[in-house]
Amino acid sequence: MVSESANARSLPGPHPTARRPVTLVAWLAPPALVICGLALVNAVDPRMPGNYPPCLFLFVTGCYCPGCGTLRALHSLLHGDLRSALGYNALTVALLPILGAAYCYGLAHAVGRQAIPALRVSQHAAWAALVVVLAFWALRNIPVSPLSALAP
Amino acid sequence: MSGSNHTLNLILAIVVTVLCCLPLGIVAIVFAAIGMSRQGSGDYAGAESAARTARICIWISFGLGLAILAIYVLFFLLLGIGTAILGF
Repeated sequence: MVSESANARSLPGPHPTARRPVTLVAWLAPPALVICGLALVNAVDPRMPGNYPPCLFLFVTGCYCPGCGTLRALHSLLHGDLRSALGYNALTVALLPILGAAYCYGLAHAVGRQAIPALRVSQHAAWAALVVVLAFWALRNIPVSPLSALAP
Repeated sequence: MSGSNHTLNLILAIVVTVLCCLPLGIVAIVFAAIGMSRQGSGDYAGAESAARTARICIWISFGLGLAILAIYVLFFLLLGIGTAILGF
């Protein structure tokens, strides 16, 4: 294992999958944070103004950021209202299953070691993600009928 | 400890962009994507440096998001205490 990493450093070529010592804390922190966050959002309604501080970007610029409406979308989802959730922040709703799947796959990879290959996303997907986020950001700030559906 | 996890960088960059709503998150996505492109074209040193930049952006964005949240919470707490004391 030691010689393998030494070789990877000296030889050019695709590196072998980095085997970092994955601590239990690193894997437990995301679900713990998510559960705490969801419990808070469930208990304190983000639709009531004043319950949460406003988004700083919205406060300073008056424009929506790509994350505006996330709390309200999560609150709606927790109450089974997918339609409202999509209305508050469609990007967040679309990201949730992707993030969940990525987490589960990463966990399976860490536990299964060699059995499951590491998650690899193509560079095209990365640029596409950038375009999607930027487009969502721009379009939701245009107050014209079909696009205003993207605004929270 | 060779090689960066470009996929993880991309995922974290997107999460930070949406959750911390800082333009720095966009920069992190750009550098994560650049890292993946360079990895694909065989420029491993370049990929590594782009990944490092992406990770720095992610952490700064995350830290700023947390700091802003803390300041906000403190501000609202002080506001609440202040109004309670002044009896509004």
